[in-house]
Amino acid sequence: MEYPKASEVKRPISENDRNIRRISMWKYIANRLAMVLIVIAGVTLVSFFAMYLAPGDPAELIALERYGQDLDKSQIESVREAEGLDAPVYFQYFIWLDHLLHLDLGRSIITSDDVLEEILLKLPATIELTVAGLLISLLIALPIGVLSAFQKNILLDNCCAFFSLIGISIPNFWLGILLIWLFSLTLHIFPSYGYGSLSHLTLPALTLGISMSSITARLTRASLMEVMEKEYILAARARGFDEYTVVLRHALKNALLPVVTFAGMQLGYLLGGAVIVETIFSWPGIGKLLVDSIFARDFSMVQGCVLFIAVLFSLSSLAVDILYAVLDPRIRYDMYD
Amino acid sequence: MDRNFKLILLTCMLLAVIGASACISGENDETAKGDSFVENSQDLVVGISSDVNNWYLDKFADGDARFVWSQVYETLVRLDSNLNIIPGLAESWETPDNGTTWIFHLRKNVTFHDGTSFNADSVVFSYSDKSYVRQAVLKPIKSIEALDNYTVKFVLQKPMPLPFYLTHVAWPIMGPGCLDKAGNFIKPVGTGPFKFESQKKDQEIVLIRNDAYWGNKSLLNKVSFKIIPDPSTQVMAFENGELDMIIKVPEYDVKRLEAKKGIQVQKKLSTFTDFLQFNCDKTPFNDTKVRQSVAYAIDTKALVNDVLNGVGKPAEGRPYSPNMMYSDPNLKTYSQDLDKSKALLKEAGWEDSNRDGILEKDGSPLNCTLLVSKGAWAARHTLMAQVAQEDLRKIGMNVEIQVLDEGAISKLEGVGNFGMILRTGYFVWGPYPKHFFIHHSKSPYSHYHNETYDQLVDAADSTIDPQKQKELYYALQDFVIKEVPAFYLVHEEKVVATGPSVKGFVITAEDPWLDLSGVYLERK
Amino acid sequence: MTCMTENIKMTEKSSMNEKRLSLWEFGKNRLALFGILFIAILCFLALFAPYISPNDPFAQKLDKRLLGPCHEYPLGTDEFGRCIFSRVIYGTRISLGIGILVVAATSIAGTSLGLLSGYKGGLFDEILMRGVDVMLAFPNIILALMIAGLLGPGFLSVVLSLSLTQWPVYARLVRGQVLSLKKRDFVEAARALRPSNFYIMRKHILPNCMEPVIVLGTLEIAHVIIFASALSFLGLGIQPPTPEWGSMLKSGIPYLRTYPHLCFVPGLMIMLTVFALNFAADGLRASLGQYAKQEVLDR
Repeated sequence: MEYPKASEVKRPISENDRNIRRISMWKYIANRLAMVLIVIAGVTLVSFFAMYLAPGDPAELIALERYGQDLDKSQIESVREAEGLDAPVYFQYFIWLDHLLHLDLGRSIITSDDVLEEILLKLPATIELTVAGLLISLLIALPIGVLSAFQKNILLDNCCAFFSLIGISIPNFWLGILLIWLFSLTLHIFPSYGYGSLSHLTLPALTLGISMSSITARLTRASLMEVMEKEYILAARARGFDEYTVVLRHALKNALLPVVTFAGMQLGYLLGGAVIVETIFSWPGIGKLLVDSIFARDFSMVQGCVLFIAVLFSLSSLAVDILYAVLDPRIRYDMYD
Repeated sequence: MDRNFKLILLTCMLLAVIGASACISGENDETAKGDSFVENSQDLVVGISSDVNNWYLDKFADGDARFVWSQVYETLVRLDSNLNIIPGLAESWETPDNGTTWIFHLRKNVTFHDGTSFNADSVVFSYSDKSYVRQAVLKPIKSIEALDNYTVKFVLQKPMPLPFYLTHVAWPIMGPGCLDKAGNFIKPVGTGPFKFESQKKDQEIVLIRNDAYWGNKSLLNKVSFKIIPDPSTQVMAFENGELDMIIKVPEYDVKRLEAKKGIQVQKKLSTFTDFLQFNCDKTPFNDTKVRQSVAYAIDTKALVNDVLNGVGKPAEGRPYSPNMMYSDPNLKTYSQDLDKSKALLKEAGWEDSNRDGILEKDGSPLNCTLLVSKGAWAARHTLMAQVAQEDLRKIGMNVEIQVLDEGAISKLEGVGNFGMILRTGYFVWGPYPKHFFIHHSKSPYSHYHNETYDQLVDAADSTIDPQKQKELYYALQDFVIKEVPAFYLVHEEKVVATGPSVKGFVITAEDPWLDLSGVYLERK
Repeated sequence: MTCMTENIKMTEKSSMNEKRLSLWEFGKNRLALFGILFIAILCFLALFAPYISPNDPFAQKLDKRLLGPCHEYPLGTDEFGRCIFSRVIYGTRISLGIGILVVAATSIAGTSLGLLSGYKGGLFDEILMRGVDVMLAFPNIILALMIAGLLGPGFLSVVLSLSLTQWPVYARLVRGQVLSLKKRDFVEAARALRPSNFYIMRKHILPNCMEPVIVLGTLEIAHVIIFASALSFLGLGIQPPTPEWGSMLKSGIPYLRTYPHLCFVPGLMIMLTVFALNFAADGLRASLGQYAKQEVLDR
C-alpha cells in the first residue's frame, strides 16, 4: 500500500556526491539517537494536541462517565478542577508528559482500564501478525526479485513486473476480502476470523505480506541490477567464476543489505497496515483496539494507541539504522550537509 | 545466464512455496485431527458478538453477556419457551396484600458452584442495596428479609408484579462466594447448569458442566462462547464449521442457511421491538406533527418483507410485540402514506422554499442525525437505518446516519445531541410490558415529557389486577400511536442456527436467553 | 547539516534539454498510456455522472434488491435495490474529488514549505524538517485515522485528515531538490546578478523542482484514494448512503458469499484507479527523465 520513499531507502552513496561529510560511527549513532528523541518529543506533542480536534468539552465527557446522564454544571467544574483541566494547555501537556515518563498513559474514559496495560495485552497479537507478514513478504519477494533481475525471458520478467504493480495498487482491505472470498468462502481452506493457531494467522499475514512483497521485490531487483554493474562483479566474472557463484557469493550478499534494511523499516508500515487487516479479520491486536476505541469515542485509548505505534515505529527505525551502520562500513560515516 | 543457476533458483522458490503451504496445511491437518479427536466429545462452540463485560450484580450485563449469564446464573422465577411464567429457584410465591408484599418459597437442595448451599440469605445478598437492580429498576423495594432458611419476604412501597421483574437474566441469584473476605469480586458463583471455567478477553469464554446441578444435568461437557463482533464473520465461521451454533443470525443470511443441508434454523418472535426514538426536546421532533409524519413516511412492511427477507414482523408503530401480555391486537397502526406525511409537515410549517428537496422552516433546513449502534446487538439496524433515511428523504427530511459504539451513543444521548436513535428492546423483561418506562419523564433514557403519559405508566405499574392492567396498557399503546414518542418499526424475530452435529435444541421466545438443556452433539 | 537520510538529488548529467516532457517516451510505454486513458475516462465519468448514470444512485427499490446485471441495471443492484453502476459512477466523483483536492492542498503547502526551508535554511529549516520527521513517524494511515476519528465522519474530515498528514512528503522532496539546485552553477550565476530571493526561487528553483513534484503528486492521488476509501471502509470516512467505493465495499461484505459483485465492483474500481495512476506516474517519470535514477520503483 505504501511506496518506499526514496529518502527512506539507504544505499551506498557515490563518491561524486558533493554534500557528504564524514563522521565517525559513534557520532553517527549518537546523532541518530538525539534525532529520534526529538522526533518522539514531537510525536507526544502531536498526539496531545490532536485531542483538541475532538468536539466537546473533555471535562464534560469525563463527568458524564463518572456521574451518569443527569449531571449539573458544578459536577463538570469539579471534574475540571480534579483532572487539572482548568490549568493552561501547555501546563496540562507537561503534566501529561510527566505521567508518560512514568509510563502512565492514563485510563480509558469508557472502561477505565489502564491504557498501557490494555495495549501491552494486545501487543503480542500485533507483533505476531506483523512478523508473519514480513516473513511472507520476504518469502515471496526475494525469489521474484532475484529471478526478474537475471531473467532474460521477457515474459517472466513482465509477469514479475506486473505482479509487483498489482501488489502496489491493491489496497489491503480489498485484498483481504478477496482472500476471504477465495480461501475461506469458496475453498474452505482457512478460517476467516479468529486468533490462536497458524491457520488463523494465514490469511491476515498473507494480506499484509502480499501488499508488502511487491515493493520488496522491486527493491531486490533494482538493488541487484545496480550491484551487478559494479567493478567487483566484473572482476569476479573476469576471473572466470560462473554466473551462479558470481550472483550468490558476490552480488546477492551486497544487494540484500538495502533489502533487509528496508524490510526492517517496513515493520513500521506493517504496523499501519495491521490496523486495517486486524479489523477485517477480527485479529485482537493494537490496530483493532485503535479502531474500536475510535468508534467508542474512547479518546484516551485512541491517543495511547497512536502514541504507542508511533514510538514503536521510531524506535524500530532507529534500531535498523544502527544495525545498518554497524553492518555497512560505507554508510555509517556518511552524512549530508 | 547459466541454466543451472536458473534451475536452482526455481527449485528454491518452489521449495519455499511448498514448504510454506506444507507448514500451513500441516497446521490445518492438525486442527482437522483435533476435530476428529473430539468426535464424540460434548463440547459445544457458540458464537456471540460481545464479551461478558461484567460478572457481578453491581453492574448491568449488557449485549450478549446475558446469553452467557443465562448458563451460569439462575433467577427465582423463570419463563418457559412460550413466555409462560414458571418456577425457577423459587418453587412458589404469593402476595398476601395484593402486590405490596411478596413471599417466595425457595427450592431446597440447590447448591452453588462453590459447594455452598442456596438459601434465603443468598437471595438477600443478590438483591442487596449494592446491586444494580435495586439502584436502577427495583427502587420501590423497601426491604428484603429471610423469614426462614427457604422463605424470603420482599416488601415494596407500592403494589408491583414483582415475579415478572425477577425473571430477568441480568439480575439473577449469585452466591456470596463471588466475593472474597474484603468484599472484592473474585469469580462468578451461580447455581446454573454450567460453571465458569475461563475467559480470554474479547476472544473466548469457556464454561464446564455443573455436575451438581439440581435439575436435569446438561448432556454437554463444555460450552465455549467465541466472541466475534462482526455478524457476517460469525456466519462465515459457522458455515466453515468453526462454530456449532450462532444465536443471532443476520436476517440476510437466514434464507440461505435454511436451504443448506444439515443446518437447522429456528425462528421465534421475541419480546423485542426495534424503534426510532425521537429527541422530543429539540426541533424538529419536539413537534408531534413531525413525528407523526415520520410514522407515515416509513414503510415498515417493505422493511420487513424486502430488506429483512421476511424475518420479523412489521410493527407499524405498535410498541408491543404480539406475543407480549396486553399487546392490543386491534390497535390502529400506521401504514405508509407519503401524501399524509408531507401534509403533516406542511401543517407543522416545514416547506421547501429553496427547491433543493429538503424542507425548511424559519430558514433552517430539516436536518437530523440518526444514531445507530455498530451492530453488536442487531446487524439489521444499519440496513434499517438506511431504508428509513431514504424514506425520509422522500418527504424532504435530510437524515445523517452515525454508526457508533453503544457507549458513544449513550454519551450523545446524555447530552441530548441527536435527532433519532434506532434501538431495540429497552426495559423488556419477559412478557411484562414494563417497556413504557422508556418514555416516562423519570427514565434516564427518556426524551419525552408528558404528564398524562407519566400518570398512565405509574398507574399501570402500580396494579396487579389483570383487568386494570389491560385497560391501562391498551390506553398507553394508543397514546404511543397518537403521540409517537417513538416510532416502532419491527418486532424482532429471534433466529438461531445450529450446525449438523447439534441435536435437541429448542428456541425460546425470551431474549436474551439461551436454553441449552437437552442439547447434545453427534459429531460425524 | 542534518538530514542524513536525504538523498533525492539531481543526477549530475541531467540537463535542461531533458526537462521537456517527452511524449515519445511516454507513448512508448503502453501501460502508461493505458493509465492516462483510464484516468481520462474516470474524469469524464465524474464530470458527467448525472448524464451517464442510468439511475438515481440514491433511489432505493426494495422490490428489486440484489439483482444481477440486466438491461436496466448494467451491474445489478445492491442490498437496497440501488443501481450499482450509477453508484460506482458517482463514486468516481468522490474518490477523484478527494484525491485531487487533497493533493492540490498538500502539494502547494508542502512545496512552498520545502522551497522556503531549503532556500532559507537555518532555524526555519531545522524546525520544519523536524516537524516533517515527526509527521512521518506516524506510520501511513494511523494519524489520519486518529484525526478523522476525532473530527467525526464526513467528507470534510476525510479531506482535512489526509491533508494534515500528507504534506510532509512534498516538503521533504522539494527541500532536497532545492538544496542540490542551490549549489548548481546556473543558480549561482543567477545569484551573482543579485535579484530578489523570491525571483531566484520562482524563476530558477521552482521550475526545476516541478517534475518530481508532478510525479509524486500523481502517486499521491493514488495514495489518497486508497487512504480515503480505507477510512470509509472502516466506517470513519464518507458515510452511507453516499456512494463511496470504500463504504460500498464494506456494506457488500455480508453478501460476499451470495452476491460477490457487491464487493467486486467497487473493489475493482479502487484497484484499477490506483493501478492507472501508478502506471501514469511511472510513465511520467520515465518521460520526464530525472528523478527516475533515484527511485526504487524504476523499471
